[in-house]
Amino acid sequence: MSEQTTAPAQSEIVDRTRAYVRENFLYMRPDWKLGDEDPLLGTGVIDSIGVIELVEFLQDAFRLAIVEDEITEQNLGSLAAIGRFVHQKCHANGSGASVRPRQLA
Amino acid sequence: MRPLLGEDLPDVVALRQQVFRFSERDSPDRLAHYLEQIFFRHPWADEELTSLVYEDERGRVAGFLGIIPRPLRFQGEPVRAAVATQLMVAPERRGLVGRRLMRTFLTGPQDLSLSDTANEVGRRLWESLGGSVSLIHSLAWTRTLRPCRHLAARFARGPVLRAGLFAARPLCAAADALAARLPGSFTQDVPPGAIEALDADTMAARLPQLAGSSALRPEYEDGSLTWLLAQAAEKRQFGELQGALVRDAAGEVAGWFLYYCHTGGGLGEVLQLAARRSTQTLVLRHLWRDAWRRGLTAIAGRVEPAFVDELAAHGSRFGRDGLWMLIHSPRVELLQAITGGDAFLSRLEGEWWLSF
Repeated sequence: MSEQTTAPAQSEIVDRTRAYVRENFLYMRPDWKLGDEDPLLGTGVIDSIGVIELVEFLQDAFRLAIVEDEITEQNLGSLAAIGRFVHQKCHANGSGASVRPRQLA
Repeated sequence: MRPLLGEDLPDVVALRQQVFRFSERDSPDRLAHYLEQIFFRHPWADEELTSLVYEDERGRVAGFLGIIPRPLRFQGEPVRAAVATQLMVAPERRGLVGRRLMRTFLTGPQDLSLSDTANEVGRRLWESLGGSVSLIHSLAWTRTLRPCRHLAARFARGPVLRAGLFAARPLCAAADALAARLPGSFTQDVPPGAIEALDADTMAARLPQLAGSSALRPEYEDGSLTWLLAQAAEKRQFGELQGALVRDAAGEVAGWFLYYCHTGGGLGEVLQLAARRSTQTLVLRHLWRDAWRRGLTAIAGRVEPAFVDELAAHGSRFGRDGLWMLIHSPRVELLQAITGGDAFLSRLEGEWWLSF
């Protein structure tokens, strides 16, 4: 018998990613305003290694596989973009049936 | 993303000054001239393997990746290799630009991609794009020649200890002279055979014999070595480039060594060693002797798998110097040749010899 799972809501994806970004990239700058549409790339928030770590986080947290062609500014350029992209990916993976969000530690 | 053009060089220089603090060139004009030499005047022109620039929305050069083609041979057949160097991205464009530059390079038409002075950031980026690390080539060796002065120089930190070291120089010199005469790791006896001046033509002619057992080796027979050695001689970070051809007692070519050394002594850095298996000890002994005679306290180099046994047998220490050798190829046999120690790939084959 398999565990019942649901795809995360877009707002949940955005909130969890925001928490991750704050904890890992902005811990020295707690006053940094990080709005949903604020750019993450090219603004000093996330550099090229940060992109690798962000992709690893998204794959791990939302149980999805991100391929190289999907690593674009359109998909990862802001929290809102990430929310849309991940939400769309989760639903493309069988309407979320195989997606089981993991609790952040 | 587009190929580097000659008119981009001033912008690349400006970008480099923004991104890197250290330069061996003392003016922007000299750096631009050097970039032109390295990326446009090299002897391995290949229209499909050119350096890359990233132009932002306003047409400014905001990213750069230097690419130098390097013809190699694998089991006698030509191999198209390319070396990546000087990845730089304007601070305000960091994020995906470096990744796009590197990805464009790694998906190019070359059989083998190399980079041998990569830092940890470069390594992670490279690996995330499917590349790997040659761990054996990411190790360094050091052979101490004057143990007292070498140790003193390593541990003398701060003005007080440095003053003490200066005062103790005569004592250290006496101890080192004694160590060179006593039996043991620091003995400096005169090896058999002789050394003589080394030139590019001899190297090109002899390499196939000396590296004969290596499946992968550089292509020096195309006349490129004269240019390459002239460029390598411009590097001043570790002193002047020295080299010698080693002949055995019968007068046969045993191999050669190339290394950098400062006139005041200190640590020498090996650029290339070449020898047959049976003559490695002889070439190393001549290297130790030559470096010792020039006043060096120690000599170091990157681990070349073929020399590991002999280096270890002669008291070398092995460790990491912080640089990674990165490799990428769609051809598994090329990767296996490198990581399995079946390749002649010295610091002269990567980007280590460059001096921006």
